[in-house]
Order: sequence, then C-alpha cells, then structure tokens
Amino acid sequence: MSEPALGEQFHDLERQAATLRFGMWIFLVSEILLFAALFTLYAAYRTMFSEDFREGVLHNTFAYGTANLFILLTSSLTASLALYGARRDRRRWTGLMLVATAALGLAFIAVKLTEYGKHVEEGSTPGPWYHYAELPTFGGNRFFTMYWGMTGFHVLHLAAGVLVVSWMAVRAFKGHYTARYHVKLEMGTLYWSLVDLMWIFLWTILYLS
Amino acid sequence: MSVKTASLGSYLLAYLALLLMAGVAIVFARAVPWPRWDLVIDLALATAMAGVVLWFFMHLAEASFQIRLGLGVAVSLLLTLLLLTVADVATRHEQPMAPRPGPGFGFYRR
Amino acid sequence: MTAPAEAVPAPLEAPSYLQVESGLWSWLNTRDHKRIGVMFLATVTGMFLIGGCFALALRTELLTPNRTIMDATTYDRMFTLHGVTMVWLFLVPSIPTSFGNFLLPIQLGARDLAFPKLNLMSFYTFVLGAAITFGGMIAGGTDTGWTFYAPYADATPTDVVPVVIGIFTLGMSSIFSGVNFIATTHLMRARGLGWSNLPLFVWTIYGTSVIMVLATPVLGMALALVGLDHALHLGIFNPAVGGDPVLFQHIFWFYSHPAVYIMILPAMGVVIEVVPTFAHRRVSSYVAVAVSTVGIAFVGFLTWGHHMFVSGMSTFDAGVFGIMSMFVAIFSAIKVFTWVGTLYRGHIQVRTPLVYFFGFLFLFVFGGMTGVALATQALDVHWTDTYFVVAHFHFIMVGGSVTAFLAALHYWFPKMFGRLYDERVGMLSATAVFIGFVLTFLTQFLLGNMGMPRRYYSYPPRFQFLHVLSTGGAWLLGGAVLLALGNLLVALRWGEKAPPNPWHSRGFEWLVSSPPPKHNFSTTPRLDFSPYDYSMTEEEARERAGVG
Repeated sequence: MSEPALGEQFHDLERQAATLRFGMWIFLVSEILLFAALFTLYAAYRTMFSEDFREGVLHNTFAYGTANLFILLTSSLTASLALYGARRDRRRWTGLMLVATAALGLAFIAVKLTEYGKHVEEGSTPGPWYHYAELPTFGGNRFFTMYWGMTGFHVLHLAAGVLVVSWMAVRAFKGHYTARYHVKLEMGTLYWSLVDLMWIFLWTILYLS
Repeated sequence: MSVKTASLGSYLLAYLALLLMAGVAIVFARAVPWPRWDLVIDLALATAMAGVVLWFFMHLAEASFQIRLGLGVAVSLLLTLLLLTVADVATRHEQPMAPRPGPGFGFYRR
Repeated sequence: MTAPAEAVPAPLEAPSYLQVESGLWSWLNTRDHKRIGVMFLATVTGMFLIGGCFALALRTELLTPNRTIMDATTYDRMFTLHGVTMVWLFLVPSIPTSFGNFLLPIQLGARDLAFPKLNLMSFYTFVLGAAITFGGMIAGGTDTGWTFYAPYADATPTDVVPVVIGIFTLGMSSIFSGVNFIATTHLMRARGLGWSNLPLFVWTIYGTSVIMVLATPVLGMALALVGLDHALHLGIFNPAVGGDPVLFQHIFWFYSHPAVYIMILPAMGVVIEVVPTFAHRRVSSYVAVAVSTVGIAFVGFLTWGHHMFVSGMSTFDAGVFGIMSMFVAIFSAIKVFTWVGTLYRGHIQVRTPLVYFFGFLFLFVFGGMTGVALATQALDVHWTDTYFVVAHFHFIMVGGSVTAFLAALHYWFPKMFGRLYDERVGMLSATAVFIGFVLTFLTQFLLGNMGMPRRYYSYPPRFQFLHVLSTGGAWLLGGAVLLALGNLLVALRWGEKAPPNPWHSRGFEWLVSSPPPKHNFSTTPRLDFSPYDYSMTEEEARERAGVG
C-alpha cells in the first residue's frame, strides 16, 4: 500500500480530494455541453422532419440498443460497487468490480459494432452512403446520419472509459485506493456514469420514441 | 462521507429503480397507443433515470453546493441552446424547410 | 517611475521564480504557474505579432482598388489566417493564460494553481494546436474566413480539415485552463478571502473560465461536424441533402458570441485593477463590478442570434436575441460608470497603464455603442457584412482587448520580471497606439456605412481615400506596438530594478516581492481585507496579511 501523494500546492489531503473531485465535475460539465450540440442538431432536425424521425426510430435496431442500455446500467452499478469497496479498504473487491465494469464496457462495444454491421447491411448508413430502402427520404438520411454521429461519438467516449477503468483496476489490485484517499477512483467512476447517463438519453431518442 | 446514499442497499435499489423505469418507458413507447405523448413521457422517464444515476451512482446526494450549481448551469445552458434553436426552426414558417430534391437525388421519395 | 523602494523586503530572501532553477529544461518541464504564465505570454505575444503581420499585409493590399501585392485567392486565405490567428491563437488565450495564470494564485494567496500538471498540459496542447493550425495553413490554407460557414466550408476546394483539427486542439487547451482556474478560485483561496473581497481581476478570470468550459465544447462539436462534412460529404449542414446551414450558425455562435466575452472580460479585469491603483482610491462599487461581470458572462449565452439576423432565422428568434443583446449593454455601462467613478476625486497619477486605460475607455464605449446599434435588427440588415461590422468588432477586440493586454503588460511587467521600463517611451507608444487605432478603424465605420463589404479584394475607386487612411493608421498602429514591446524588451535587460510595489497599489499581488519567489508567499497569508482599501498604508496591509 502506497502513501497518497500530497501536491505541494495543498495543505492537506481532504482539500486536495475536494479540489480534484470538483475539477472532475467541471470537466464533466464541459462534456455535457459537448453533447449539447449534438442533441440540439437532433432536436432541430426532428422538428423539421418529425414523421421521418419517428419512422427512423421505429426502424432502428431496438433490441441491440436496449441490450446496451442494460449493459451500461449494470456497469454503472459495478463501478459504484468498486467505490463502495474502496471506501472499506477491500482491495480485491474493488479490483474485481472494476474488471467487471471494463468487461461490460467491452460488451457494449461488441454489441455496438455488431449493430453497426447490421446498419451497413441494410443501408442505413450516414450521408452519401445512405440507401436504406424502407425509408428513402431526406428525413431518413438525417435521422441515420445523426444516429451514427451521436452513437459514434458516444462509443468513442466509452472506449476511453474502458481504458481508464482498466488502468484503475490495475491500480486497485496494487492497493492505490484506500479508505482514506481514493478520489482518483471516484473521478473515474464519475466519468463512467456520465457516459452511461448519456446513453439513457440516446436510447430514448434514437431507439424508443 | 455519508453512508446513507452510498450503502449496498441504496446502490441495488437505485439499480432496480432504473430497470423498472426503463421497462415502463418501453411499455409507453410500444404498447400504449398514445402518439405524440409517448416522446414526452419517455423523455420525462429518461430524465428521472438520469436523476437516479446522478443522485446515487454519481453521488450528487453527497456533493457540495458548488458541484450542484455547476451541473445546474450546464443543464440550463444545454436547454437554452436546444430550445432557442428549435424555436427558430419551429417558427420559420415563411422559409422553405429544405430545397426540393434535385436531379441527382432520384433515390429520395419526399 | 523612480519612487524609493519599500523599506520592507521579502520576508525571507527566497530566490525568485526566475532564479530558483536554471536551464531550458527547467522551463519546459516546469509546474510553476508563473513560469507557465510567462511561457504563455511569450507565445501569445508571438502569435499577436504574426497575426499583426497578416493584418498589415491585408491593409497594404487594400491600398489600391485592385491588385497591389497579392492575388485574390491569397487575399482570401490571408484574411482567414488573420482571423484564425487573432481569435484563437491570441485573443482567446491572451490575458487569461498569461496574466491570469501568473496572477490568479498570487491574488488568491495560494502556492500554485489547483492542477499544475494540467496547466503545463494546457500549454503544450496550445502549442500543438497552433502547430497544426499553421501547418494546415502553410500546406494549403483555407478561404472560409474564421467563421467556417456551411455550406461553403463543405464545398470549398481549399482544405478545411487540418485547420479545424488545430482549432479543436486549441479548444481543449482552453477547457483545461478554464477547469484549472475555476477549481482554483473555488477551493484554493487563502484564509479570510471570500467572494466579497476577491480581487476583481479574479472575478473576471473566473467568469471567463466559466464561459471557456461551457462554450468551447460546443464550438469543438460545430467544427468537428464541419470537418466531417468537408471530408466525408455527410451533408450535415448541406441543404442539397436536407441539411440546414443555419443550424451550423446556431451552434457556432453559441460559442463564438460568448467568446467575445472570453476576450473582453479579462480586459475589463485588467482595467479595474489599473484604475484604483493609479487613482489611489477604492473601487467606486465593488458589488456593481462583480455582479456585472457575472451578468455579462451569463447574458452572453443568450445573445448569439444577433449575428444571424439575415441568415433566414425566424423573426421570433431574431426578436428574442435582439432584446437579450441589450442587457449586455446595461452591464457594460455599469462597468464604464464604475471605472469613471473610481477616477472621480482620486489622486490620479498618470502612468503608461493609465494612458492605455484612457484609450480603452474611449474605444470600448465607442465600440459598445455601435454594438447596440448593430444588435438592432432594422439597422443591422443595412450594415451586415460591411466594414461597419468589421470596425465595430475591432473597436472591441483591438481597442478593448489589445489595449488592455498592453496595459496589463505594462502594469504587471515590474512584478513579473522585477524591472522598470522607460515611462516616456511607454506613454509615447500608448498614445501612438490610440492614434493609429482610431485612424485605422474610424475610417472603416465610414466605409461600411457607404456600403464597402467586408472580405472583398477590390473596391470602387471612390473608396480609395478612406482605405489609404486606414492603411496608414494600421502601419502607425503596428509601429507603435513594436515600440511598446521594444521598450519592454530593453527594460528586461537594462531596466532599473523594481521594488515589490512600484505603483503603491493595495492589490494582493503587490504584497510579494518582484519577481515573486517560487511559492509566492513564504507563509500562508491572511487576506481578510479589501485589495482596494486605500485607507490603509502599505505597511498596515502587509502586517494585516501577515507577510511583512
């Protein structure tokens, strides 16, 4: 077990942890605004092509999207359980939960890639490659272009999250997260849950209604 | 840290609540014939689910005031951008929405 | 300025941040906010000079109605390069990353920013972004203007993608710095330092950081989508496949309008530090300044549509944006009154930074008033895309921000480098900057009102007289800036040694020695008083802070 490092700009670990946590939240706030532009475009195009978007949602790969929703909700739970372990100095438990989180993240990516394959097959691909016979409209093209843009951006965030969580798992097994100081684990799980939270909205507007 | 919202029980309850709300959303979207309203209901449910994730999994329950304030500002700016842009699109009656398909776009039905 | 040095030296003879380590690597790998601030200062000043060269080339081309020194395509790329360089490589990072970085922790009584490594990363991200942007410009360049409007940006034969990637990277640097400043302001304040006696420069850097963190990601997404549109022809903003180019303008201006406040808020922060110091008087209303700072940061997010009155946006939205824009004028006017009110009955000591302030006051008010006119729909339709708009935003960006940047450079130069510069040359260059500026841009208001469109390569011969005046002014402005910078460079080497508080300010940054030691304060200070309280003597302030 290693002693947590206190930065020379801080006086005590509590203040350092609070500052790091707050900084992470500010970064997440920035992430929310990054997605805001995409949600705005989606809402504007949905206002223009409301019928086509509705059709697009109904034609979308609902089963895959919903499976991924459950995968991500579960992974948010495991991430929180990892934090639960760290708060009680259970090194092994924390590590295992992080491994489970990363594995669920990989499962999400696998499902997503299969799903993309299906879209390519049926022609519901973005922009100039769009040739989906069941919805040959400008609105259909807009819907699936937004779909690819939004989910693609989301899956990039998720992949980054998998890297972070895997790295945290290694650190957890080595005992870097103690009940006294585990703010970096907390930051990682915050990011992971935000990616999960984004999927809840993406699932609602792209697969559900 | 308060253990109230970070206990094993509250995590599991939050997870079950999320699953339940997702199920309800699916029922409203697919089984209840309520066109136009299902999007509103499902968005409300999504917001509630996001609230649960924030409150329990992201520990907003234990977070300081300044964190909550920051989140509130971000969400209100997201809504500002979204609503004012949609307001533009929705009230742009006199302009055509998009040009008619040209000769190169015979594939499209519209 | 040859006032006798304070009798009280730094409490411990700690080596200054400049001397504590030496060698190039000690700079490149530093975590010290002061060194990073100085590196940023050098970088953005370099960018300013490069952008200024482009501006002078443009103005020289416009001496004659047709070709003077370059062809039309070069001209188009040149004004794009000028805009991109000045906006993202100079104005947006200028004051926050240099003076903000250097001063924020000292004014808060902290040892460093909250995240020193992130701070260094922000610097290198900035350098990388600048390299990519310039690389893209040299490799081919783009001719869209700094605004990258779709659908032209989708269709232009020039290469948009590298420039867009470069600006995206610069945006990341902005966000890193913003996160750092916000966290530092919230959690690193010294004992006794609350929101009601925070130095006002900190308030403005804080407001700026909030905008950086909240608006920059939206720009990143807008530019990423335009880049994808250009590279893959997704048609996200292309009307030929059902896209809507006006939506690009919405998300672009959601950043780029608040970005105006990223540029002007720190300038206002500089001014509100300079004015009380040289008037030796308390700020006329601390609360008014703080509230108007937050007010501008907030309202700035609700006004973006006033850039789009002729875009085909709905009249309903245009009305909302027009009305919201007026609130900016109210908050700005509050600021103008507090500056002037602070000078009133003060013991005014005219020094170079104050001369810059006088120029700033005139130019900012003039730019602000024309801004109110431009935010009025009926007038804006006539002036859209003319030199009137160009003159308006240069009054705010150059007349406001650049003047304040130069004021800050002269005001904090003794603190940063421990040297005094020649006041006579400083005041001469400040006056020349003002005259050159007015000559350059006042003429452009007249040109714009006569119908001269912006970004045009050629013009009817009847406009030539005013164009020649404007070009002459630009050369004078360029020369004046070089004179000012030359004066400081000379002072860096041969200037007289500066005392800790050469201007006899009560600002917290003047409590430490010039240049400050590595950890700013040898002991954690107690800052439970106002940095604008001139009823205390300097010794009393030092004693109360527990630093002398």
